[in-house]
Amino acid sequence: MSKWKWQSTTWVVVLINAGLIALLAVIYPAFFGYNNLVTFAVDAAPLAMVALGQTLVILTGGIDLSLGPLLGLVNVIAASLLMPLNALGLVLCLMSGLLAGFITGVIIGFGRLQPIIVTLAMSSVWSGLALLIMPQPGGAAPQWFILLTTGFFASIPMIMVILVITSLLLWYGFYKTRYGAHALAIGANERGAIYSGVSPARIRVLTYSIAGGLTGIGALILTGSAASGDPTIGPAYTLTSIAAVVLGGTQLSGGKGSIWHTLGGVLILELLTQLIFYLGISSYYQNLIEGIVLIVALGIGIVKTLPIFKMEKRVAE
Amino acid sequence: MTRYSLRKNVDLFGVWMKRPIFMVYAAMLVLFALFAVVIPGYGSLNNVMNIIRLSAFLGIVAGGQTLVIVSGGIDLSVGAIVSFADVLVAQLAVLHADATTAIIVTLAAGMLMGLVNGMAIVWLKISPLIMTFALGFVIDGIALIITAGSPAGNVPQVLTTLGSGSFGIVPIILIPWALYGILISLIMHRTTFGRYLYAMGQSRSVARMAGVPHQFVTIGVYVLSGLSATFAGMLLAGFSGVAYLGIGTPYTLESVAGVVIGGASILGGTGNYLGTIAGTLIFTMIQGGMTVLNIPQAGRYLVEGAVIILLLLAYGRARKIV
Repeated sequence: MSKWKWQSTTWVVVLINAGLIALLAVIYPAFFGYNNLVTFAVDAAPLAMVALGQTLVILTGGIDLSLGPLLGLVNVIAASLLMPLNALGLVLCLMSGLLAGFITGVIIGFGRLQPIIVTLAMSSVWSGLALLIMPQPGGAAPQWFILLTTGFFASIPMIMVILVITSLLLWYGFYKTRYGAHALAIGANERGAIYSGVSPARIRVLTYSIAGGLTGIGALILTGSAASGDPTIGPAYTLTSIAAVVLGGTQLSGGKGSIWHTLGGVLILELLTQLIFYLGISSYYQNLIEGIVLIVALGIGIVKTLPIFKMEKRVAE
Repeated sequence: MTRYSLRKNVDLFGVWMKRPIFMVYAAMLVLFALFAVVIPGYGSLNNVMNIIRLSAFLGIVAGGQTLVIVSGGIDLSVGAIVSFADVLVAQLAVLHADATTAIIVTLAAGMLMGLVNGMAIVWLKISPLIMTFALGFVIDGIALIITAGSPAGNVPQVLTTLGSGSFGIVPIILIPWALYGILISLIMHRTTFGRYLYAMGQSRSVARMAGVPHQFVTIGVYVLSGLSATFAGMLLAGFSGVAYLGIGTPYTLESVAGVVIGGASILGGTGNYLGTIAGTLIFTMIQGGMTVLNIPQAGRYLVEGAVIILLLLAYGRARKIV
């Protein structure tokens, strides 16, 4: 499992990204300035965090529709707690993300309910809590916190430090531990995994907790870059994160896929947003174009079934 | 055989009690009783009729969703289609289309959207969850463009009568809803197409190997869902009198929740429209009750989420494997 494989999906992700970068280079060369790229990374990081959490959940054969609203919830918690509590507030925010994921995981794992519908209900709960804490957009983030997420430390952007540390931890946790193997096992064949002694309930609780924790980190980055809280900002992230996972070639049925491909999927979606922005397209057309591009990008997945890729696969096996 | 029928006789009441359809109607009655005690006048005939009228829109959207979910898919574009139909049927009056033309054009547009969903799912092999979600974006975008941001025009008189008219105390919308319900139930339980839906929901690969025309059925099911959402959107335009963008957005998730609370498995293969009706009534009752009790939006979200989870814990749990 841990071995890196150069799969046909890797090709598709890399090719789409290369095409988008080439287009951006033609339309707006200044995009590739250092500072601009750092800003881009800060903008993309919340989606990246949510999508990484979503990947883990989807690999176990589940799906988490509540991650978007949870992002909004932690966002408003952060915007209300960071100012008065400082470092303690930071810890509480991270804990609240973990706790929310833990609750979802317990209901799904020990309640033996379908993830899609439980997380649908939980997304309603998180949205409600977010509106309860902050009925209108507002709040603030202290200066040290904004620097911590969007600033520089010895000319190294903090956002890169956060992304690299999180990715390394995730890589170790998922590809080097028993937990990761068990998570893939219940995603690939739950019954088989249970007969082999895996407890799916415990694995699910852990997986949804990690996804909640990652979403919490994403929400903190979002709070740092926006310097305020907005209870309605979250829901849009849910399906975008699933789209990123699917673009990365991970199967929604679970058990098959890669957490790194998801980062490629996030890059595709974020570059697209930039492209639409720099092309100066009216906001009237933005939804329409994003939807069409998403369908086309996913439709490209059919390229995988072309004979040339089937041959490659056969040789590889 | 003997043993089976014997067990069935002995255990009849227990088996019957455990069925989701019984549980969901019991939950609905309990909820109704609860609100009737807390809120004076909630149990009056007038209010019951009002609940039924408000449920009709969600009920019709959820009918299409029931077909899709039973066949093993999901349709997240219904909210956008409801909004689109609501806006389009009024907007066509600006182009001097008469009522019949407006209604036919709107239904055709809804059918086309379902067709796009189905064809992309079948031929581009995009997962239904993502495909219908992305198409929802596209439809919202088209609605924004054709209205230039501010919907105009007026709703045909026949829709206003159907949507908001009353026959004595009985809302007229009960008639289209009842006809729709009978039609959907006939499709599900009395046609080959309906049997194929359950077959595909149980196991797509087995259905395919058994010779079920799965591509045709998949496309058909999304077309029917698109048509249902369009129908509901037009009635909603008649009810509210004015068209506005985003009116249908909540229907997406509420229709899915209504179907699942109604006893259908989100994995497909089980469920029927009778359960869905109860599921949508539960949702409308919660919303109406919360509005009367003056509970803010936040509380409404919390209660809705909690009710879904509690109901599912009561009767929607999977069997333990070991």
